[in-house]
Amino acid sequence: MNTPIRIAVDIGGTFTDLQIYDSRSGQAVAYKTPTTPDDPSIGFMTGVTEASARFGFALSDVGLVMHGTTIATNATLEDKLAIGALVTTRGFTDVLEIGRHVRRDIYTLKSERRRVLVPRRRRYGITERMRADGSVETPLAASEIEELAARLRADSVEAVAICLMNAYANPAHERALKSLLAAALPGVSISISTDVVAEMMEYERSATVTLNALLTPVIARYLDRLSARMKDAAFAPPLYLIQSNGGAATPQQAADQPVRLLLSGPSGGAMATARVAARLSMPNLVGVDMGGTSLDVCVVADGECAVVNEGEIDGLPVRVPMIEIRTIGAGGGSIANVDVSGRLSVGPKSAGAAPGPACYGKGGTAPTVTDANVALRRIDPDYFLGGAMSLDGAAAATALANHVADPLGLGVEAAAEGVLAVANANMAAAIKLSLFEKGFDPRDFALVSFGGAGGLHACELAAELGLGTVVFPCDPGTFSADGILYSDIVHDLARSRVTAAMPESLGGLRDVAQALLAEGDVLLEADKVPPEARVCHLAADLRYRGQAFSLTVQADGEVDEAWLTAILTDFHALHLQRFAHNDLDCPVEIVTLRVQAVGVLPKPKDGEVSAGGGAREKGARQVWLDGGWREVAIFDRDDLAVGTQIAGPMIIEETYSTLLAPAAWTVRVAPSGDLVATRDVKEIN
Amino acid sequence: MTASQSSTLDPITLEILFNALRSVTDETYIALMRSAYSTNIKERRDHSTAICDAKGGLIVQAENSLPIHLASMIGLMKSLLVKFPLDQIEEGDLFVANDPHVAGGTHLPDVNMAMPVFADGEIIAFVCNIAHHADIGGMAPGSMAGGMSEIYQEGLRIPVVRLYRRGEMQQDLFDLILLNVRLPHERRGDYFAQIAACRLGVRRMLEILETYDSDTLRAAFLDIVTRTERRMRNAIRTVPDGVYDFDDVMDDDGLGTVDIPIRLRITKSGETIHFDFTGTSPQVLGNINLTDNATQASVCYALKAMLDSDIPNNQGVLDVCEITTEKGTLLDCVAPATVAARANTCQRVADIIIGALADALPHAAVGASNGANVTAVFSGVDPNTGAGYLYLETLGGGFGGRNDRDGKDGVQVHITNTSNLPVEAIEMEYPLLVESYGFVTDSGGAGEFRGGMGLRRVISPVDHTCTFSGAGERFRHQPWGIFGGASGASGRFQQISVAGEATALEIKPAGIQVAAGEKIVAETPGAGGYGAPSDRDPARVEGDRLSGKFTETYLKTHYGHTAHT
Repeated sequence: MNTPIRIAVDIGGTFTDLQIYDSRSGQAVAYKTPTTPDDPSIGFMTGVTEASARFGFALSDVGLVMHGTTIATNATLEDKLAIGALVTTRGFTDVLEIGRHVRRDIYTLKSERRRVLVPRRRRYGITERMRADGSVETPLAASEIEELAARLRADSVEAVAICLMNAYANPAHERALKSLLAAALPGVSISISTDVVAEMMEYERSATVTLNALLTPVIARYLDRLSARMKDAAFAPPLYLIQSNGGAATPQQAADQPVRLLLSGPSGGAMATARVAARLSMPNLVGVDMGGTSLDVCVVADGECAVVNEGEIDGLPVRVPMIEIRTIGAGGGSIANVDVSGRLSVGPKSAGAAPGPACYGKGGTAPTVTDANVALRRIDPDYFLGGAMSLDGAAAATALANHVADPLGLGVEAAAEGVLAVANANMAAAIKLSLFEKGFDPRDFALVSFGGAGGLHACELAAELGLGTVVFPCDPGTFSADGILYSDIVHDLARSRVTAAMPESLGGLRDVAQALLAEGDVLLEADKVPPEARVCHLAADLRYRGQAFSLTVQADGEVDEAWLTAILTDFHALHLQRFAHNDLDCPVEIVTLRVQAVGVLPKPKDGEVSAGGGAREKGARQVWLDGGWREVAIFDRDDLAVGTQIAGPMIIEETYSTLLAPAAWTVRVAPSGDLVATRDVKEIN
Repeated sequence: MTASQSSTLDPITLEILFNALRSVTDETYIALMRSAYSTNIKERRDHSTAICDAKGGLIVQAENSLPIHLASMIGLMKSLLVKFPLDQIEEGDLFVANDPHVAGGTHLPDVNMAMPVFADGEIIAFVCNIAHHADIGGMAPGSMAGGMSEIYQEGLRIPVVRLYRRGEMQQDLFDLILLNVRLPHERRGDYFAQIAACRLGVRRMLEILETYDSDTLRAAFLDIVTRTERRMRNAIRTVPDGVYDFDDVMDDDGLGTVDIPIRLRITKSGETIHFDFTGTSPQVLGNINLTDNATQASVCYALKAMLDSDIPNNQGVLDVCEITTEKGTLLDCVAPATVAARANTCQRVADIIIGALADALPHAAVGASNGANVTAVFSGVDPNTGAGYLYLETLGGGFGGRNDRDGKDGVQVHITNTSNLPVEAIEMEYPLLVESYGFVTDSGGAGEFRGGMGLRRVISPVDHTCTFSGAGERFRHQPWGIFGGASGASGRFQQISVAGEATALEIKPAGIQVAAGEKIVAETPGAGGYGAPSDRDPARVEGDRLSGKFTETYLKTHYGHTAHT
C-alpha cells in the first residue's frame, strides 16, 4: 500500500486532537495542538504538518482523513449563521415562530427567549398546497415567483429554505420552486425540506431545513478555506467529515446537508465507546464524558450506539438521525448551593472557565465539584493538568465552609463529601433515565469514563448505579478522535407514508424501499465507493394505530410476508421492552421507511500493547474516602504495564485527568491498554 | 440556628432521595406519553405524574406536570383515603377515578390513577398519574362541549374504584367503563398506558426501598414538604403586609349567563396569606365552574410563580395558601354543576391573583394573558373510511407583557402547557384541511413591554359536512394591561361561507354544521401590555413594524410620538 497512513482530526473548543494510524506497524499514535477558533483550518493543517514531522511520515503517505468539527454547532449556538429567508405555503409563515406553542419552563412568568431562526419580515408565503395523501389541492403559483425572487434579492439573502405543507408526501412543488428560484437567484444556496428530512411534522421539518440553509454558506466557506490550505501544503488525501449519526460524509455531502454535522462533537466519544465494547468483548456500555460544565451520556447496547431520529440545539428541533447523547449540566464547575430552607443542591449552574472553581484562584468564590475534590485531596493541587496549573486548596476549603459546611452545620470534609454524593446522584439519575427509557437494566451494563473530570467520579457513580465494572480507556486525551478514525460513510434516507402493516400494503412498501435503496446506491456511487463496499440497511418506524410515537426496528431483507411478520414481531417485543406493555391484537402502522446506506471504509487493526513488568508507585497521600482520611497510593498511568492488577484504594494520575478507584475496587490493565476496574463481588451482593 | 436544625434527615441523604423520587416521576411521565393513544397525551402532553405519601400529601411531581393537574392528584388522594382506609388497601390494588364532585377530579376527561407502594407490609406512598382522554362519553364527542347544564351530560362519572384488586384486573368494571366511551379500543390503550406507568412507578419505588428503609423515606417525605413550606413562607414575608382587592368577569357560560364576576380580597400579614373569593358569582349552568381543588391549584400556581418559581411543587406549597370560597359558587361548585371548560376559569383566577398583587410585587407582575383555554372541536364521519372522527384542540394565545420584556406571542399560558397538533398530523388523521395558522395582527396590547399575540387557525372539512363546537373566553372582555399598558385584543369564532362571507359565532358555540368548502376561523385573545406605551423603546416599535405583526394604524394610535412616518 502506498498510502499507509490514516488520520483522524477532531477539532474541539480547546484542542485539535489527532489520532494517526500507520497500517505498516498496526500502531496508532496521538497528537494534540491548540485549536485556532478564528479559522479552525489553520489548526487542522498545523496539527497534520507537526504530526508528520514528529512521527516521520510524508503528507503523501496519508490515504484518508476523517474530520470531526464543531463548526456547525458553534455557528448555531453563537448565532453566526447566514442571512436567510424561509418560503412556506401561504398561510403558514408563522409556523417556524410558533413552534409547538409551549413554554419550556411551566412555572415561571419570566420564561426564556424563543429562538427564531428567520425574522418574520423574511418569511414568505407562496400559493400552493399539497394534501396529506400527496395529491395537489392548489398548484404552485408560478406567477408569484418573479415578485418573490425580487423580494429575496432586495433582502440580500445568502440562503433560502423552502418548507411546504405536506411536501413529505409529494415533494414536486418544493423541487419546482427550488429550480425556479435557483434560476432567478444565482449564487444563493437553496435548501428544500424534503432533501433534508422527508418526514411528517411541519415545524420540525421547517426548523431543520432552515438551519440547514443558514449553515450552508458557513460550512461552504470553511470547506473552501480548508481545501485551499490543504492544496497549499500539497496534502490531497480523500477527506471525510463526521456527522451526528457517527458516519462520515464527503465534503460535497457535508456542504449540501450541513445540518447533519450538528451535534457531531460528542458522537466521536460514543463511537469510541462502541470500539471499547468490541475490543473488550463488553457489548453493553454506558459512556460518560464529564467535563467542566456538562456531562454527556451515551449508550452502547449489543455493541451498537443508540441512535435517535431527532435531536435538539438551543431549543430547536433537528430532525436528522443522530447518536443519542443525553447532556445534563453537571461537571467539575457545577456550583453547590444551600437555599434558605437548608436544601443542598449541586448545579446546574456552573462556574465555567471564568471565574471557574474557587481553587482556580481567578476570583471564583462559589464552591464547585472540583473544589470538593480538591478539599478531599482527590485532586492534588500541585499536579492539576499534569502540573501545568496549580490550585488553591485553601480557597476551595473557604468556599465550601462559607456556602455549604457552615449553613448545614457540617465540617468541611463532610460538606465536600456531601457535595460529591449529590453530584453523583444527579449524574446517576441522568444515566438511569438514558437506560430506563430504553427498557434496559443498568446492572447489565459497564461504565466507560472519559473526559477531564469523570475519572474521580466513575467508580462511585457505578456503585450508585449498581454496576460492577468501570473502563478507563487507553489514550483518553484523544478518545473521541480514536472513535472517528473508524467511521464509515453513512447516508440516512427516510420517507414517511402512514401505511397499515398488512400484506396488502406490501406492494407500496416494496416500491418505497426499492426507491430508497436505489437512492442510497446512487449516493454511494457519487462518493466513489466500490460496489463491494456498499451495504444498505432497511429499517421501519412502526406504531400501534392511534399512537403518535413510533419505534424503529431493523427491516433488512426482501419485503414480503415473512418480512412483515418479522418486523411486527420485533415491534411488539420492542414496545414491551420500552413501555412495559404491548397489544398483539391492535392494528399496527408503518409510518416511515428508512435506509442507511453505508460505504465501508477499510479499518485499521487494533494494536496490542506488549505486556510489561508491573507497576511503579509514584507516592502516596492522605485522601478523604468513606468518611475519613486514608493513606492512598498514587500511580502514574504511564507506569502501569499490561497485566498489572492492583487493589484499591488508589489514585491514578494522567496528564489531563485523575482517576480514583476506592477500596473494594480492583484495577487491571487489559492487553489493549484500557484500565478495567471491577468491584469486589461481595460488595455487589 | 442553622437551616437544617429542625429536620430529621441529613441534607445530603435528603437531596439524594429527592432526586431519586423526581426521577421516578419523570420516567413514568415519559413512559405514559410515549405509549398513550389519545392525541391529548401523546402529542399534546396533557398528562402528569406524581408521588404522594400515605396520607395523600403531594411529595413530588414530574418536571412537566401541569399546574391544573396538581388539583386532581390531591383531590383523588383525599377522596380515595376517605373511601378506603389504609387497612383496606392491598398490594397490587390500583384505583381509578375522574369525578369532580365525589372523587377529587376537575373535569371528566382527566382520568386519575393511583397505586399503593408497600414497605414491610405497610403503605408508604402512592404513585399517581393523570391523563386527559380524548373521550369519556356523554352527549358530545370529546366530552368537552358546552351547552349542557348537568354533569351527567358531560360524560361517564367514575367514583374512586379499584380497577385492579391484588393485581387482578376487574374486567367487569373495565368493560363498563369502555362501553361508555367513544372509540373504546383507543381508550383501552390509554388506560393500559396509565396502568403500566403506575406499575413502573411502584417498581422504581421498591428499588429505592432496597437502598433506604421506610423510616428514612418517610422522614424524607416530611422534610421535603416542611422545607418547601419554609421557603414559601420566607418568600411570602417579602410581600408588603396589606389588603389587596381585584376583580374580573368571565364572558359567559354558554347558557345565557353573561359577565360573571370573580372577586378577590387578599390579606397578607407576616408569613400568612389569605385569598378570600367571597362575593364571586354563584355557580352557573354552563361548564366553566371550578371545584374547590381546581381553585386551589390555580391560586398556588399564581402565587408560586410570582414569589419563587424554583420552589418544588408539593404539599408545602398547597399548605401555605389559605383560601376561602363559598360553596355553590363559580369557584367552589357543587353537584350537578358542569365543569368541562374549567380551565378558562382557572386561567382567569391566575390573572386575578397577579392583578391583585401587581402593586405589591411590580417586578413579578405581568399583564393579563389570553386568560382562556380556547377550545375547538371538529367531529364527523370520514367520507373515505365511513368511520367517525373527533379532533379536539386547545389553542394558546398571548402572554402578558413583563417588567423587562415583551409577553410571548402565541403560547400556552399559566395553568396549561399542552402543545399544538401539527397541521400535517391533523390532515393525516382527519378529513380536514387547515387553511392557515399564524398570529392575529394587532392583538398584542401596547405597552413599554407589549403583550403577546393571539393565534388564528382556519379549518375546513374536506368532502363532507362536519360539526364544530367551541369554547372561547376573553372574547368580550379584553385581557387588561398593567401600569398603563393597553389591553390585548379579544378572540372570536367565525364561520366563513363558500362565497366568503363571514358570520360571527357565539363565544361558546355548539353543534355548528360546517359544509364542505365552508371554514371555521378560531382567533384567540392576545395579552395586555406592561407599562405606558409612551415609554416603549423606539427600536422595539420599529421591530413591531418590521415584523408586520402590527398595522401602521395601530402603531400610530398607540405609539404616535415615536412611530416613524
